[in-house]
Amino acid sequence: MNRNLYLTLVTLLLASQAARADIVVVGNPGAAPLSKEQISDIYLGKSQAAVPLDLPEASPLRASFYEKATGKDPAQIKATWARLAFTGKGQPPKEAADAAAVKKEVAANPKAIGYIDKSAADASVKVLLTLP
Amino acid sequence: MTSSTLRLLSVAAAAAALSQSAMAATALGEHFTFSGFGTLGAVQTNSDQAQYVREEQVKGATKSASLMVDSNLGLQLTATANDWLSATVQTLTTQRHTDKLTTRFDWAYVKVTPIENLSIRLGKVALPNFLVSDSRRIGYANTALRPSNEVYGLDVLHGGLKGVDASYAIRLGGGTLTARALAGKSSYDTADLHLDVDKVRSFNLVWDGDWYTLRVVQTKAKPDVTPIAGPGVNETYTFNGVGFTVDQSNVVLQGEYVQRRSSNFAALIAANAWYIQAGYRMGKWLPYASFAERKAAKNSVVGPQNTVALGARWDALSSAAVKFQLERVNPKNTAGASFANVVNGVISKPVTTMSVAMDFVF
Repeated sequence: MNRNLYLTLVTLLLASQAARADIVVVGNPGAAPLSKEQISDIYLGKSQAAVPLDLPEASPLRASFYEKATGKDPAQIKATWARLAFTGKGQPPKEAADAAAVKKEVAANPKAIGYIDKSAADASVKVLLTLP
Repeated sequence: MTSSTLRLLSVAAAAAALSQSAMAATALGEHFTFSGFGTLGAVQTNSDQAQYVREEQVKGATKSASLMVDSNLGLQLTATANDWLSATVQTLTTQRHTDKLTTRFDWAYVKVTPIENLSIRLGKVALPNFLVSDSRRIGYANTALRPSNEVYGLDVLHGGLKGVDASYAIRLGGGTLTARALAGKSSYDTADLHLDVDKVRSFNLVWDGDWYTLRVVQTKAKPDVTPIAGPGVNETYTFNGVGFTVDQSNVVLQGEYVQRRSSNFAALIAANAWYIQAGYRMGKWLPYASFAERKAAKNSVVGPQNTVALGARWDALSSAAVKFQLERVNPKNTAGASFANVVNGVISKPVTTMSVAMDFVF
């Protein structure tokens, strides 16, 4: 019982921290910085300047990133991509399983960008923009 | 709190997390993506004088509810070879100009992106004669339960476009200006008549930014009218449209004005139509209202109609929205724009419709 309670509390604490912490948009170490507008355009399918990566829908960081970068909620984002994908104007971002997978893909692909918790950023990637 | 309560909470949280992770597209290996959309919708009216339909449909709702008007299922497979070459096929199962659900390839094209911002598609695509014409069957992508029949039922190029579609985008004044040109063939299809349509030429300009979209379109086409007018008639069909959207501070606006013209059959074809729709986003709810009107132009016999609609979109699940819509359709003592099998050819009183639909993507 005590162990269960402890685990639940830790999970809740981590979840609330993830929701409040800074999010960074990361790219290949050779990539140039991007503005918030550019990142919004890339994640809404309006610009092909970079290849965006998503975290899974279950990740609290995902909704938080879209809110900060584009001002839209998950349903609006999904409706936007439904319109684009089914009229042949683009395919939604590919999903990476977690921050480690985002960093791996970004380090390997000069055009890829992703978003992760600031604390997860390391030397394998370059921070292109911080979303407080 | 007991251990079993905690376990129950954990299971509930896990189930919620799982339902949130339903993806909108499924990757099949490195190169293929499978995705789909659909609507399950029912509509009922307060009249048995005519059947309420959408666009060129022939069977619809009366005092008995119909699932045939709004329900559909779309399946899409995209093969991506590399960052400049892909191929897509999309089937749509829905009621068209016969009284059954039919499945057709509405989209089947190869897309090349030779340079950034230029894309060329070869094959079959939807003809973008309206603001949301190529996405009007994707309920999930739209605010309203269905687009205004007065406007979206006006175009008669039912066969889409078989040909080439080129679009080029540039940055302009904080937004993106996209010019799109299409050329190819189409067709006119109703229950009684099929006409081949050649030399379809369409030009679109769309300017969109963070919170707005503006667009203009002109389409010209050469229907082969031999089956109705005999040989040697050189017919030109013209469709013009302007439209806009605004999505700012939870206010969602959308409007369009379109004109339909004919060089030889103006008395049967010429008409103008428009609608305006306004909504307000409140979390997962988006209530909206709209007014739409169709009028004859150039003294034509096109039936006038207007519709007042009230509705709401509710984003109930992460990949599904539920919509409700109530309409008062006034065909002004004609057969109107939204009806089939009209008893005695005229509808004497305005018709009230009630609709409910669930739109989903996967």
